[in-house]
Amino acid sequence: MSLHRNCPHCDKSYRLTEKHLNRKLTCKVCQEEMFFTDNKSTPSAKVSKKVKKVSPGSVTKNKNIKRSTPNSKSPQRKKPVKKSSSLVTTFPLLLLLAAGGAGTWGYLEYAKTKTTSTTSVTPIVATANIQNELPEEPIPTEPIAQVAEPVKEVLEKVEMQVEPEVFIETPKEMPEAKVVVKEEQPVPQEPIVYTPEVPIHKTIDQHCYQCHNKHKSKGNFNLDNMNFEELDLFTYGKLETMIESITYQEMPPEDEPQPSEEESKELITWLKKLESSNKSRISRMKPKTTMRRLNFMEFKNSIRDLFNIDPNLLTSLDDFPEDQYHGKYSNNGDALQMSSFLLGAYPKVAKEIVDTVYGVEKNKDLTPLIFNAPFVPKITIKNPIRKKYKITAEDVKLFGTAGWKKGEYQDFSNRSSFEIRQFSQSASLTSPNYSGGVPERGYYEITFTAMGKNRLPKGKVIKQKTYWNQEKPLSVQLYVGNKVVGEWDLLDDKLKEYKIQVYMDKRQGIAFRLPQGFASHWANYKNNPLKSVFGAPKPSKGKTVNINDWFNFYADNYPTLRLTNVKVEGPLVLEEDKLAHEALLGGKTFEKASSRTVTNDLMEKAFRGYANDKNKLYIASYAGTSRNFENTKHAIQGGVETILSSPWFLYMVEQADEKGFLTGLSLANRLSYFIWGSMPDEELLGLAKSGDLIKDSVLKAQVQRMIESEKSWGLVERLTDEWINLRILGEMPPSRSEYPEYFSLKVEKNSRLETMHFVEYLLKENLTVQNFIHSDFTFLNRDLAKFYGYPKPENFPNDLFVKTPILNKKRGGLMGHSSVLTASADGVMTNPVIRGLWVLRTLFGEDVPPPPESAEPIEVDLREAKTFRSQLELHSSVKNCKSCHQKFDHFGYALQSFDVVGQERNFFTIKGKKRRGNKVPIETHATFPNGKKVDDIVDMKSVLMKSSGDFTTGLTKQLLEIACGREMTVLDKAAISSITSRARGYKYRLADLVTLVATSPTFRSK
Amino acid sequence: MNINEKNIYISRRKSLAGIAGLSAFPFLEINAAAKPEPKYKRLVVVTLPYGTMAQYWTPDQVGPNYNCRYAEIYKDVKQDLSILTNLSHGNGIGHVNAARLLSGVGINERNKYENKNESVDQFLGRHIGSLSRYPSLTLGGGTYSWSKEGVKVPELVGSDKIYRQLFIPDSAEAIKAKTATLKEREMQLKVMENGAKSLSSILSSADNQKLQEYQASILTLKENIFRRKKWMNTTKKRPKDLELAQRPTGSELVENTLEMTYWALMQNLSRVVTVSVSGKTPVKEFGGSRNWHNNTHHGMLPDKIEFLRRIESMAIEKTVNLIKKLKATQDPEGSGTMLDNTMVLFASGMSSGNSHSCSNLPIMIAGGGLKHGNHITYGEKRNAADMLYTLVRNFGVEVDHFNKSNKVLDELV
Repeated sequence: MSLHRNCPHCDKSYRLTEKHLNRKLTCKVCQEEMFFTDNKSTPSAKVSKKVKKVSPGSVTKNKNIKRSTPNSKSPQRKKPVKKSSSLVTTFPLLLLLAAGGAGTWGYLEYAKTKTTSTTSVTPIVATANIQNELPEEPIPTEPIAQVAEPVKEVLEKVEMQVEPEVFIETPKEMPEAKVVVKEEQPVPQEPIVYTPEVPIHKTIDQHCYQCHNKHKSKGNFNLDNMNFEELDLFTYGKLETMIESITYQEMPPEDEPQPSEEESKELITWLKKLESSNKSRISRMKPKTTMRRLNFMEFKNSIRDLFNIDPNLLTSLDDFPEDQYHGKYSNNGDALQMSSFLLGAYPKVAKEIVDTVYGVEKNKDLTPLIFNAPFVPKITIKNPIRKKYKITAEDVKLFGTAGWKKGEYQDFSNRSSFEIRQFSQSASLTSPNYSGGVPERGYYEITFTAMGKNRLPKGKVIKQKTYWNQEKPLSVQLYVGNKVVGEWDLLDDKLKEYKIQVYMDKRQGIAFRLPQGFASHWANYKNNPLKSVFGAPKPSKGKTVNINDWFNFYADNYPTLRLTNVKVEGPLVLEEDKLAHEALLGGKTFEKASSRTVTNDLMEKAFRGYANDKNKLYIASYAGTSRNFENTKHAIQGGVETILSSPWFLYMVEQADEKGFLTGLSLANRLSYFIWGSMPDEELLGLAKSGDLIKDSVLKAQVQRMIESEKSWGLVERLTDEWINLRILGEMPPSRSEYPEYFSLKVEKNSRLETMHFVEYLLKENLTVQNFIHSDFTFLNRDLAKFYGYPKPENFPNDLFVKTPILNKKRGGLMGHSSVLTASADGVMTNPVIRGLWVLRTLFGEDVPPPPESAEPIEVDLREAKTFRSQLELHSSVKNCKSCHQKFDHFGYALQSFDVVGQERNFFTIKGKKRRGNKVPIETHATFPNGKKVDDIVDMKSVLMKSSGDFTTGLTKQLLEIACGREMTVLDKAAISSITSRARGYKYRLADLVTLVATSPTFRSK
Repeated sequence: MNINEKNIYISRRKSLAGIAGLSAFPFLEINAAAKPEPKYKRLVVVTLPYGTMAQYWTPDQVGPNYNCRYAEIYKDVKQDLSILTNLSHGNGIGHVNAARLLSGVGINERNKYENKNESVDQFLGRHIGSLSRYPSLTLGGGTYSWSKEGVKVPELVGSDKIYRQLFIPDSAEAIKAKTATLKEREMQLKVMENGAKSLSSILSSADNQKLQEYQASILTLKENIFRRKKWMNTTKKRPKDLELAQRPTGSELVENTLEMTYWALMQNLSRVVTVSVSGKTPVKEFGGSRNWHNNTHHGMLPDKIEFLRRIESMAIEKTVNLIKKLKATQDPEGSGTMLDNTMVLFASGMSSGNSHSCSNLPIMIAGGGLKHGNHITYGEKRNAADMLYTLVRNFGVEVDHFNKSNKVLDELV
C-alpha cells in the first residue's frame, strides 16, 4: 500500500510505502527531518474507509451515506481553529480530531518534530454514516449546503496554498485494495504542471485541471473540452457529475491536495449557480433526433413488407455495405451515414426484386429442368488464370469418385465437398464461358437418394472431433453456393429418398458433403484420428504408404456416403412469388402493366404517408417515359430502382408541431420502426392521417396491437442483437477442436434463438424484466438441451424451442444463456473484464470510459500456473485502473463459472506443453465495491435482483435510445426516471414498459 | 429480359465492389497528358490484422547497423527500407483503435474532422481521380480503408475476383451493355437529385445538413460514372507472366494478391493499392491451431509464438519479394526503377495481439525515393500520423495537412 504524506514543514507531498514508516526521513525540499507512522487503523480512519465506498456497479450511489474526506493538507496551518467546540455542537457529524500534534487527518502522526507549534490543527471531517448517527435527519437532497455550512465556519481563515508541482497522479478513489500494490519509491516525481489556457475557476484550475486536461483526461473527463464561458449541453451535463463528486469528496482523490472546505463550498455554489442560470437556456437545446436513414435491418424489413417477398433470399443483400453503429445501436441518426457505396447498392436490390417477380411470368412457360444422376465430373477445366493447376485423375479420387459405379450410384468417402460439375458454381466462376449451374434464378426441388456406410462402431467416441460420435449417424450436407442448405442424418446401409426445395441464383450449383469423411490431409500426416478405429492401408509399393494407398483404402473402409438418383427440378413457380407479383403489378402482366401506374402505386406505399403529387412526379415521369427504356419490364425496373434510392424512402422524415411533438405521420413511422423494425401498416397510417393517433388512448391501443403482432419480432431482434449485443456472435468463434460440441450442436445459432424466444416470451406475455437477471425458465430445443446437460434431451423437439424450467440455478436469466456467455468471451479465454462490462452496460445501461491512453495493457502470460484473474487483480489494483475496474470486474469474476462457450466449469485448465491438463479451481467469489461479498453467480444474482429499479432505469434508457434513434442525455434523465417509477406500478413488466416508453413525451417529441 | 444482359449486370455489380472511386479532380488528366513525367508516385500498403511480435520485429539498435530476427528476411533490401519504431496514433487498445492505422483518426472522433477518418489510400485515390482506371484498389479483408464519408471501403476478396476484375477484358457486347447501364444510371441520379430537392424543402436545417450526405454521394457516383466512361474503351490486358496458385493456401493467397498488385501497378490500373492480409486467411500450413486469431492471444506459450513467427515471417517475406521485384523493374512511365517511384508500407494497426495494444506500431517503409537503410525510433513528440503525411507529400500531393498531421518525418525525406 502506498501512503501519501506531506512534509510537516514545507508540505511537500511524498508517496510512501511501509518501509518508510517509523523511521527518520529527510525532506528533499526543506531538508528538515520527518517521521511518519502508520496510524491508519485508528477508528476514525476505519470509519472513513468503510463509508467511503460507493457502490457504482451494482446500484446507484447510496445517498444515505454522507462523507467528507478529511482535508489532507493545508500548507500553512498556522491559524488554529477558533470555534472548534461550536463545530461539534452545531454539526455532530463532523468529528474533530485535533489534539496537539496528534495528526492532521486521522492517521498521520507527527512526532519528534521541532515545529509542533506551527502545525496547526486542521479539523478532521471524518466520515460517518448518517443513518447511524443522525437517524432523525431526513435524507439530504441538497447535501452540499449541509456539509458546507459548518465547514465554512471552521475554515474561515484557513488559507489554501497548494503547490501545484506536488500533484501526483492518483485515481478517482483509493479504497482498500485486497491485492498488494506495487511498491513505489518515495522519491518525489517531478510531474508536469498543467494550467488551463483560459482560467476556469480558481479551485478547478488548482485542484482539478492537473488530471483532467487534454494531455491526460482521467476518467475520460477533459476540462479542455468544456466551455464554461458559454455553457453547451456537454458541459452542462458534466456539471452534475462535478457537483456530486466534490460534494461526496470523491474528487480530488483523497491522496491529492484537497481544497479547503470553504473553497469546496464556494466552488459548488459557483457550479450550482452556473447550472441554474443556464437551465432554461440549455433545456431549449434538448437534443433532437437527427434524420435517420433506414439501417440494414429496417431496409430489409421494409422491402419485405413493400414487395411481399422474403428478403433473405436476395443475394444482393449478402455483401451489403455495413451500417455505422453508435455504441451498441444501429439506428442512431448521427452515426448512420449515407455513402456512395450504399447508393450504388440499393438499385441492385431493386433489380433483383423485379427479376424475382418477373420470374413468375417467365418461368411459368419454362419446362422444368430435370437432371438425373449420375453426373460425370469434368476432368479438365480450361482455365485462363490457373496455369499451375490441372485436375488429374488423382484429383478425381480426391473429390470422392473412387468406387464409382457407372449409372448406378456414387460413393464418397472424402470430407471435401463433391460438386456436381454440371452444376458447379466454382466451375462457372473461374471460366467465363462455362455455362454451369442452373439457368435461371428461382426455386428448385432437389431430390436424391442416399445411405451411409461404415459408421463409427458402438462404444467408440472420438472426443476431440466434432462429427465423429457414435451416437450420431453419418450425415450428408447439401450445399448451394457456399451455404449449407440442408443436412440429413443417413440410415445405415439402407437407401432413402430426400427432398428439399431451395432457392438458387442463376448459375449456382449444388454440392454434397460427408462431414464425417476422410480429410485428405490425414494421408500426409500421422494425426489421423480415425486410424485406431478404421485402420490404415498397407504400402502397395516400397516401404511407405503413399497417398494413393490411402485413397484406395479409405474408399472401402472409412465412413462413406452412397448417393444416387440426384434430380434437380425447376425453376418452380411458387405461390409466394405469385403474391409478390400481385403486390407489385396488381394482377397485370409486365407486358400489359403501365410503368407509370406501377411506380405511382409503389411510391404511395414506399413513402409511408409522405407521398404527394410533387415528389412522385420525378420518378413517375422518368419511369413512365417509354423512350427511356427497351420495354415495360425495363421501365418498371428503372422505377423501382429510383424509388428504393429515393430519399423519401430511405430517410425517416420526422416533423413536429409548434410544441415540438411529432405529427401523426411522423409518430406512426417512428412507432412502427421501433416495434416492428419496419414500415407502418395501413391501419396505423390511416389513424395518423385522420389525426387520431396522437390521442393517448388510441396510441396506447396501437402500441399494444403492435406488440401482439408477429412483426414485433423486429423489436425482439433488435433487443437481442443490440441491447444484449449478440450481433457480435460469430466474430470471434471458439476453436473447433477445443469445443467440438459447440459446433456439432450448433450452439451459436441455437443459443441465439434461445435468447430471442426468451425475450419474445417476456414481451408477449408481459412478464417482469427481473427475468432478465434471473428466471426459472428458458427455451430449449434438443441440441441445446443436450448442451446444457438436461436429462433425456431426445424428448425435446429438434426444430422447436419449448419453454423449459431451469434445473441449475446458475443458468437462470440472461447470464446463463450460452449466447451471452459466448458473446462476452473472445473465443479463447473468458476475460472477466469483458463479461463484467457486459453486465454493467447491458443490465444497468451504464457506461465506463475506455481505458485511458496511458493505461498499460495486460500482456497475458499463461506460461506459469497463473490465472488471468491473478494478473487482472494486479492490474485492477493499480490506482489508475481501480476506479473504473471496481465497477465491473466483480461481475466478471462471478461469471467465471462458465467457459468460453457458456458451459459450466469448476476448473480452469492451464495450457502449455508441459502443463497440459493442469487444473486450477475457478474462483468465482467477488466483492462489490460497497463491500458486499458474493460466492458465486447465484449469490450475485440475488444481490442484483434487489436493484431491479436500477436495472429498469438502465433498460428504459436503452429502450428510449432504440426508440428515438438518438443518445439520451442529461436532459432526459427526468423523463427516464419518470418512466421507471411508473413502471414500478406495473411491476416492471416488459410490455408495459415498452408501452410507457412509446407513449412518453420523450418518444413523441422530435 | 435477355440472359446476357443479366450476366453483364452481375459483372458490373462486382466491378463496383472494391473500387473506391472518388475522383475529386476529374479533369486533371489533361494536364498530366501534357507532361511526360507522371505527376504522382505510387503507394502499396500491406497490412497485418494482429500486429507483429515485438521481440522479433524491433531492431536492437538505431541507425543502419541494426539487427533483429525478422531483419534476416529483408537483409537483401535492407538499404531500401526503413524500420520506424515507437510511432502510434495514441495508445488506445483493441481492434477499434487498430482501425485508424491509415487515417490516424479514431472511429469515435471522426465527426470532428473534415474528411472524417479517411484513410491515406482513399485520400490519394481521390487526388488521382480518373488518371488511372481505378483511383485505388482495396484488396483482401481488413478494416483499414475508410472513405471520406467515414464508411469502410468494400474490399475485393479472393484471387479469382481480383483477377477477373483487373485483367479479364470485357467483350464488345459487354462494353455496349455497360455503357447503356451507365447512361441509365446518370438519368436516375438526376431523378434522385430532384427527389432530394423536394425533400429538402420540408426539412429543418439540421435535417437538411444530414441530407447533404445524400447529395454528396450522388456527386461521387457521378464522378465514378465519368471515370468509368472514360476507361470503358481501354481494353484490359491479361499479364503474360502472371501465374496464380490454384486453391491457394494462406501464403499463396498473399503471394497471388501481391503478384496481381505488381501487375496492376505496371499496367497503371491504379497507383494506390492496399493489401490487407485478412484475419481469416487460412493458416493451416503454419501448424498449430487453425485459427489465427486464437493464436494471437498467445499467453506467452512458446508453440503459439512459433506459429505467429511463421505467419508473420511469411507476410514479410512476400512483401520483400514484391519490393525486390519492383526494384528489378524499370518504371515504364518515368525514370528509375519501379521501386524508386513506389512507396511500400508494411504495417499493422495493432502492435500485440496478446495485449491488444495499439502503441508502438510495427512500421516498415520501402522505396519511393525516400532516405532508407536505418532503424529510426521516435519519441512521444512524433506520431504515426506524421508518417502518413510523409507518404502523402512524397506521393506528390501538395497539401498542408493530412487529417491530424502537418509535419513530415525529416529523417525519411
